[in-house]
Amino acid sequence: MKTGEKQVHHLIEIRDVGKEYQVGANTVCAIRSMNFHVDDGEFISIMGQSGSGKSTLLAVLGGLNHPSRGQVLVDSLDVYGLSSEQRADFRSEYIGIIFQSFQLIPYLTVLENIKLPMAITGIAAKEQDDMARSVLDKVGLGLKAERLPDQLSGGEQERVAIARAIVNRPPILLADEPTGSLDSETAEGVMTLLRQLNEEGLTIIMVTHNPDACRHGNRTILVRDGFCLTH
Amino acid sequence: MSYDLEKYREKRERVLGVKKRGLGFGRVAGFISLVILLGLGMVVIPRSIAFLQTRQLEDAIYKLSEERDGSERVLAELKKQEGVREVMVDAHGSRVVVTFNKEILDTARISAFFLKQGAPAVLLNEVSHSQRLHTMKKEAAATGGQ
Repeated sequence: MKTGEKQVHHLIEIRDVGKEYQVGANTVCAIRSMNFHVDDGEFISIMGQSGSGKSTLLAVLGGLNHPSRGQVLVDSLDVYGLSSEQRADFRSEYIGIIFQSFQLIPYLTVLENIKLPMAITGIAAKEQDDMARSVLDKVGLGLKAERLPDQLSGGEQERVAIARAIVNRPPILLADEPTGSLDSETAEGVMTLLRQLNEEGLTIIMVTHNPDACRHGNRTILVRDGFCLTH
Repeated sequence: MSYDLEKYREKRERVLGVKKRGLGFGRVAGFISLVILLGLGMVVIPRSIAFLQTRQLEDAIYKLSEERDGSERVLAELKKQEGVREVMVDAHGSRVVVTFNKEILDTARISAFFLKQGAPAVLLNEVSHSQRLHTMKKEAAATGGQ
């Protein structure tokens, strides 16, 4: 066990994590107390109503939102015990994130959007290009590399967002309502793609309202009022 | 799937800074500094060596008197004097450039030497050796080596 590494038994361990926000004079409790773990290669669905704390949990898991208490351990690293620079490297190395509203940059082509997370990795430009085209083929958009995002359908934009999230080959993919703005048929296609990626070894944690989406995962964590009800 | 601590070791080491990714800023800065220093060194060092080798040398330019009988003998004798590095006569044979070490010799003593040898010479100019070489180089370039 080296400096910075903790004794763990799972890829992700959430230990007594809590999160409060200060809104004016009031304190809002987004996560009261959560404990669970995720193993390597699992496909976890986190379900809960709006305001139940599931998106906050996803941000805490991704190293984006410092919890008020508790520990987030990923691959034996105490994410919030790392320096901010190390945490940025942690996000680059370990985490891919898909947002509900895709968050593609409208004036960059599909290929440029996908290459964006590689900008700080020090990978050579030619290799970046090859990697981006390879993931684009994987999500079935190999022929649309030079298009702008608004020239794509919603489902295609979601696929670009997935490609961008996995281009650095992170072991963990966090998805925040990935099918929230898609019709059911397109949503099914996106879920099939996520299932495929999971079968190739990617660990996926997906926040969703949709019970249909949960059946693609192999475990569901129910979140209510800042607590995990089942895990 | 069970968790294997070794599976993502490389990623973990990159996060913890044990293993660096790509070229670090320090390495790039060091490499660029080295290139600049080597480039400067290639220009500056030979000039510095040349300067150190010639900084004590001075050139005295003399016009020889009309009666030049035996002047070759006088110049050969001058060459043997302590502190004299070189004695050159120009193409017309009327001017003599004496390169000497200014720490050992001066123009007063050279003029005295000419007088003593019965070959009076008029001192036309005294310049540093490197400056005269530089001027000659510029003149040669301007006249196309004529």
